[in-house]
Amino acid sequence: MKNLDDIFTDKVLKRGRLLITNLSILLKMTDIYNSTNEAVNNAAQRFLSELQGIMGGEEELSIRMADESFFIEDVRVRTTVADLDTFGALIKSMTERGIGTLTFRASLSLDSVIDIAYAIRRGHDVAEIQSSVDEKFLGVGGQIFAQKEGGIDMRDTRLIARRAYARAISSFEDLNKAIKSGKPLNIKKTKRAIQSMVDSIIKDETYALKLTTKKDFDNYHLHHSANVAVLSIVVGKKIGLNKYQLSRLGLSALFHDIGKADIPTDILNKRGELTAGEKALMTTHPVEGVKQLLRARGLSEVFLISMFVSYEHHINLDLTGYPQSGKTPNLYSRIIRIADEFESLTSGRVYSRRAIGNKAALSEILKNSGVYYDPALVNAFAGIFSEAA
Amino acid sequence: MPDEKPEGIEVAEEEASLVKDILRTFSKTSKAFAVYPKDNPVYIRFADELEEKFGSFFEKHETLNLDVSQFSLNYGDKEVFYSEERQGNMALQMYVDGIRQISFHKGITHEEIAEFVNIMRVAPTEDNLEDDVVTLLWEKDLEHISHFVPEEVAEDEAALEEALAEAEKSESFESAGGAKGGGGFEAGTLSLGIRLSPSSPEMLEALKLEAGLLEGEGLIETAVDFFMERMSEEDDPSAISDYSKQIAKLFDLMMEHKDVTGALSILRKTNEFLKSAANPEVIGAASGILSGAGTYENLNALIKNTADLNIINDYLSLLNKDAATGMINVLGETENRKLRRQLCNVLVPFAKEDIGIFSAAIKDQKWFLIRNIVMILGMSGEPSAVPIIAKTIQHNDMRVRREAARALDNIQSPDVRKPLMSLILDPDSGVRIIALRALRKIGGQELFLHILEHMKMEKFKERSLDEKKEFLEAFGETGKENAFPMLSSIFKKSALFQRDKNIEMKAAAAYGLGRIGSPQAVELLKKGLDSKNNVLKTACVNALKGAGKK
Repeated sequence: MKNLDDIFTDKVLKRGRLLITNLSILLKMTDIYNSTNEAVNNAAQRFLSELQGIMGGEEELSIRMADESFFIEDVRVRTTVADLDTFGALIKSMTERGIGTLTFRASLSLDSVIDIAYAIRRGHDVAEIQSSVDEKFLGVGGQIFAQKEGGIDMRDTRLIARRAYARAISSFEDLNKAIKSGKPLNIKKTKRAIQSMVDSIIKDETYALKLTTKKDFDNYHLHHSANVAVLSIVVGKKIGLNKYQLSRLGLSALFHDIGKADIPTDILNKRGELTAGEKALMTTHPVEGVKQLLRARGLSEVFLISMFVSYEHHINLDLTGYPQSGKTPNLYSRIIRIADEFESLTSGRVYSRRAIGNKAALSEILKNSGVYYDPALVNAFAGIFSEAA
Repeated sequence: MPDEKPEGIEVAEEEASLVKDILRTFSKTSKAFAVYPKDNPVYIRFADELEEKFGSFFEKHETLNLDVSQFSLNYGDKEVFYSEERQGNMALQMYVDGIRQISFHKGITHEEIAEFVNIMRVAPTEDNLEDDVVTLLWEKDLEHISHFVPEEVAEDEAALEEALAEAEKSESFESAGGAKGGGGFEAGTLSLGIRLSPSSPEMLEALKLEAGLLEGEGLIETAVDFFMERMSEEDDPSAISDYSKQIAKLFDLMMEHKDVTGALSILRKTNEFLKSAANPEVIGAASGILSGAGTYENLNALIKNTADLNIINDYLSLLNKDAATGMINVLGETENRKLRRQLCNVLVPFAKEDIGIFSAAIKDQKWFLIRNIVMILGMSGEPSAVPIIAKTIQHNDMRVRREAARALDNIQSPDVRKPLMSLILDPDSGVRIIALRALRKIGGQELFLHILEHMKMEKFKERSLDEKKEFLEAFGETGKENAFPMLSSIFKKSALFQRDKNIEMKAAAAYGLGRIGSPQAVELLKKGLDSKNNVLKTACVNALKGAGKK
């Protein structure tokens, strides 16, 4: 038996298109006719009828526009080819006025619907529309809430960001298991997650960065890798890498510690100091990572870059660090070096020291800019915190 | 949210027909793209046709929206594509990858269409564990093609998502200050107390250029260097083998993409690397890369993908003897003379290393290949090549036998005498002459007697002047005083009958007398200077010169 949510969703799927279409037609009518014209009247009637049909007994109903799609409450309205003109016109109207959401109240009447339509047509922005609608609807019971969100719904972006982050961790965990069992690595899911992460960082990097602050000590290495990926992508974005490059950077950042797959979890997640033997084991992971990637998968751009990063991500700019190398690490490795260090410092890299705050961690990195870390990249990283709002 | 397809808007048959036509053309184009390269006229024709079909549609519409089901594509309320094929089925492929709607927008370019066709070809291959249609569409970022994938969330992801959403409500999330110490990710929340010098545009540009080097050919070059460095640091044989296999794969990739210059670069690096390698495992593994480059398939690809003989020569010269078999096969097929010459030159050192590689090729059906093999063996100068060459002295093609004689001439070994002796009995005059010249260098009593037998043959006189000259010269040379009686008899003989042939014999005998060079021989030759016959007179003049007399 369907629950109320399912019933509502069904209604939106069946009637949502018609509702949006009728709203668009109504607004178009206001361009052509005055408010007493029968055509306007009929269009308003049709809209109200659909609205009430979907609302049922609900007090209000929101129509939200995000990424050139419509959502009624959180249910996406499906479109077909025939809808493009009418939907496109409504998107244009709302976008021009900065409207993100229209919330209709149950006590709407036909007249108030017509008034709303003309208020939208005449208004230049949300404030103007809202003020004229508020005056009009006092005593009648209908109100409009509109949010200027630049055409992008922030809730939607955040959901995408959380989902991408969760998917990156989940798929990375699967990959670790595949490595341990010697199976070939299918990274499609991981790639989608990172691509989604890149998209959400391009739209709202601040929120994505905040996700990295949720520390999970039981699954430290998984979250650590995902956090390093986020931080690296943000730095990459700041220095002007394109989407394709950002996804490569994100994937190789996710895999940077893959050499730890065979290291026992109790060592990886150990909270106290490591023994000398345990430390020595940990320093093998850059080379082990290369071998893991070679065995699990061979040739592709992603895996080649990931091998370089695995090997180089603990080599400093002055070639100290490990493993010993006579070559300057490549760009992605240098970015991930900074992100890795920052993330470890702020997580209280469980096996060594207590966690420190962002400011202290950044200061630590700045102190060694030009010695351990590429100064241009440090600048970009610091820019996450110190740009003007 | 239930994944329920809404009812489609009613669409006219004519319109649906147009869309069906586009999709039919799409399928044909996809097959053409799989077979023909980008610059092939067939490829171009199919791509143009598909673009035209889209163009016709977009004359009247802004967008082509297709709803994706497992085996079908719908345009409005009309099914415009249906297939239950498991391979090459674009509906199924998109469906499996989660796409439920694909849209093409007005303004779509030729390049975007081609990219989309190639995405649909590449994504479904069995060994593609990295990409699907969705990831490829994202990477290509096609402005006029969009798609819809309803989100599906796995249980573990949902749990983490929920935890993150919960965390969002906390104050610490908003301030996002890390574990302690404050300072969030909001812009301007940290006062660092230091002045940061902004990176210059040039610095940023340099970083972006550096990122570009990690793509395409630059990436491959970096990868080859990387693997070679790892090989040289490594002790574990299986790791060394893994690294070298990757380099070999990168080489193969270059060849697949017809990038011969890139492939050659890898060979050069490998060659240089081998010069400094000390670990036998590393040497073996790196040598394997060169061996792989010398397979018949790769050599064919090399010849097919470049006409530059310098590049071909450079490539061939970097290969090791494992390439010999492949090269011999190519030698048996190519008609390009310069290339054949190059291959022969490159194969000569391999003959010195391992003569056995060539013994099978001697049995080939193609006379010209056998001739080349014989030439190579001769150029090698290896005494161990003689038995192999000897197998060809009875070959039915005289060009092979001539080459055998030349090859034996090039080899310093007593073993060449016997096959050369056989060759001076060859039915072909050219073969006999070459063999005889070779034997003259060896000399000896046996040759003298052999020639004597020859001269007694009935048809000896019928042979060409050049040949007779060679034989009688050799006769005089090897016999010296023992040859004088016979040569003087021939020289003095009347030439009344069979005049031309007898004159030639006399002339040939003159050369023989010249080789003897004794006072009696010289005296005879001087008498010959009075001859009214130019052939004879000339022979006497030359013979005297040869003897050091005027």
